[in-house]
Amino acid sequence: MTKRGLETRVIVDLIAFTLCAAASAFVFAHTRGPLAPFVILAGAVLGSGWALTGWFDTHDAAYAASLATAAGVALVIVASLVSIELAWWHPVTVVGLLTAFAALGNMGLSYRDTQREAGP
Amino acid sequence: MNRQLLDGVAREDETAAKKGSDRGAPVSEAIIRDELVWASPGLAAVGVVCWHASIPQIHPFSAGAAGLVTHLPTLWWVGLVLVVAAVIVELVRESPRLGAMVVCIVAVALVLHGTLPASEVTPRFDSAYDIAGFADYIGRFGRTLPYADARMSWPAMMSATGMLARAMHVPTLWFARWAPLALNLAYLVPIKAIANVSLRTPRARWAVLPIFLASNWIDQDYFSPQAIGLLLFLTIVAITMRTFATRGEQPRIVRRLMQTKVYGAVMPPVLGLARLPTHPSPGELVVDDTTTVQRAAFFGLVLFLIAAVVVSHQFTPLALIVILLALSVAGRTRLKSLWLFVLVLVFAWLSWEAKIYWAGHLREIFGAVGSIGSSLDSSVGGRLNMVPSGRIEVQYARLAASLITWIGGALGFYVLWRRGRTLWTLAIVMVAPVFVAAGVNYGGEVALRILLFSLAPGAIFLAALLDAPSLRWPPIVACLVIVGLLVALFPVTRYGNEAFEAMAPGDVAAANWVHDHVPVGATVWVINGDNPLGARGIQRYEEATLPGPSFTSEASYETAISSVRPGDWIYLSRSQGEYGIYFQGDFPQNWIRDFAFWLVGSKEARIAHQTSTAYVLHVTAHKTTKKRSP
Repeated sequence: MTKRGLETRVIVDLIAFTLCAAASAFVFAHTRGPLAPFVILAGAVLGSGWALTGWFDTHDAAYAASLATAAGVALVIVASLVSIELAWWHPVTVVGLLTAFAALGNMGLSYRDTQREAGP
Repeated sequence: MNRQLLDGVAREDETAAKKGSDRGAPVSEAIIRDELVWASPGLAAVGVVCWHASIPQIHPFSAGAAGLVTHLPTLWWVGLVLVVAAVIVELVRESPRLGAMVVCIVAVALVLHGTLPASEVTPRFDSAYDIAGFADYIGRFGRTLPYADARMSWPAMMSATGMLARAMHVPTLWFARWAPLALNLAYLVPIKAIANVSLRTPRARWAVLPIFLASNWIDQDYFSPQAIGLLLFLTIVAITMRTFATRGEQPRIVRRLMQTKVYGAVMPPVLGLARLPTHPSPGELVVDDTTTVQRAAFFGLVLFLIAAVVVSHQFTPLALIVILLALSVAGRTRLKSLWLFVLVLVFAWLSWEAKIYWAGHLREIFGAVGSIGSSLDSSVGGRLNMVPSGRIEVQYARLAASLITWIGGALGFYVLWRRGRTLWTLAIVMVAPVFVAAGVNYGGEVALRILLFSLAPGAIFLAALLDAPSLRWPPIVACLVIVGLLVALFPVTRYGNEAFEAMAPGDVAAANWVHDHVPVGATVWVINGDNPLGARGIQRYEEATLPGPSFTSEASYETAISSVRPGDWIYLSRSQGEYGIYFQGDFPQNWIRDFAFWLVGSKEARIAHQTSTAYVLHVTAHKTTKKRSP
């Protein structure tokens, strides 16, 4: 992967981390407002998707973005279905935890990509 | 390695183009000068400003038989022309700029797919309200209602929406209004990923996106399981075509067939007649170098996405099965048994969570096995036969747009082959969903669903007309004419149902009054299903339909309310009235108002709530009932 590609990845990692962390905070704090729903949606879908697929070394930005979007959608779908099947319906907790774990994943991603960027 | 491969392929392509079969003068590559660097974003910005200024002049709730097209102001058309011109100006460049292209494409999406959400303050389409209602129910109670509606047997997308809505502190309808625009933009991402391995020039790869936006009139991108399913479907196709692609490893029987003397004797003359090269190179590029571990991770992701599709929607997995099977038979993917995995998952889900639907509808699901023709005929022919004469133009325009997409796709495939390349994987993805019609009975919408899956490959084939490093005029003109036709038809095809699919704020306000005031367990009568009651009404009250067939005389009014009992409620709205006039076709103008006034005048009911476009009536006494039980 090129130096510029790695730089871009680090920026994306950090944005995804920020989104997920903010989304998790908003969810657990029961924040209401015009911006909060968008941040939570972006964190839960795009942020968690990137935390899952950001580990794949894809060179094409469109491919990487489509993997992240689809994975995020699938994660939310599966998480909600599992909640129903287990008869453990706690939407706030599940979305809050999902975004919190995604924030951790994105933090790990940013660390990895920063190391790779700094490397030879 | 990837760059080398791509450069090598581009050189081959250039050589082929020089030998080229296209006739005409070369297009000047110096049309765009440095001083025109802001031309395309500038045009797009002015187009969006014109579009935005035109929105207050658009009144969807007064649309007529042909939909919104006759109500679109001049400024809207100016906006459309400007954003399309912006895309064309940017595509004249050999390598369109990322930022400018994104601006132009978002502008096109905004004008084509943002007009309805921008001009309607309440979400449109009754089905979107139903989905929001199911999601709201799951969000509140954490369980599904498979007995209430077949869609609840595939609840995953709705449960995800309910879960997110609870966490976001928004109603589930929050997702519905701008969903068509957001989803169309989301579709472009996997489509670009597929185009990047199918086409070789940046110009053609970018051209795919506005072509897709112009060809997607189908209106299946409202907030629904199939809309989310399409996003996952496109991503799965992208992974199959990029990470797990193979070329031409057909099954032994196919290879043997191709080695026979008959094949060798027949095919070259046939191809010669069509002026096609006998040994074209596979058009798909392999650009992703992956290790075994990475492929395993990608495989896990594909399985995960497939699982999400299977539990969300009944039709999308069937299209996936057919496409994956066709790709496997044709030797275009390394995932040769994946179709079987999807099939097993589908039956597992049917047997486990969707068993209620499965048990009661076996005949309906497989009643159409082997009858592609009748399924498509009932779907297409039925739609042409059952419409009132005022709307026949809309249906013909839709048929024309569908044919243009398919013919354009076929032309792109042919031109690409003449240039020495074939895109068989994409051709399979485009054609294979037709065979889903042979396997299931999906009612009148099967042709629409099949077309929906064909749009992305169709757009890529259309853009393939521009896929040569040195372009000649004939393919450019062909592409411009086809796309021009699609854009010109779009306001008719996409906005053609707006007379009854738009939900007026008055209709929604009256529905909200029903939710807040009608006691739990009561019966609410409606004329037809085209209403927004589903958004919050699940399990609160029973929704029943007044018997028709028409509401033209006092006798028909009596018939309609023959089953209504004192204490019941009647919900009459503009959208139901327009649906009766323009879709059911035998209702007079203002029939909703006349019916409401007759009910009040004959002391059958009193108006409990009234908005600018809807009435909620409470049945007080019922003569017919009195007569029957003295």
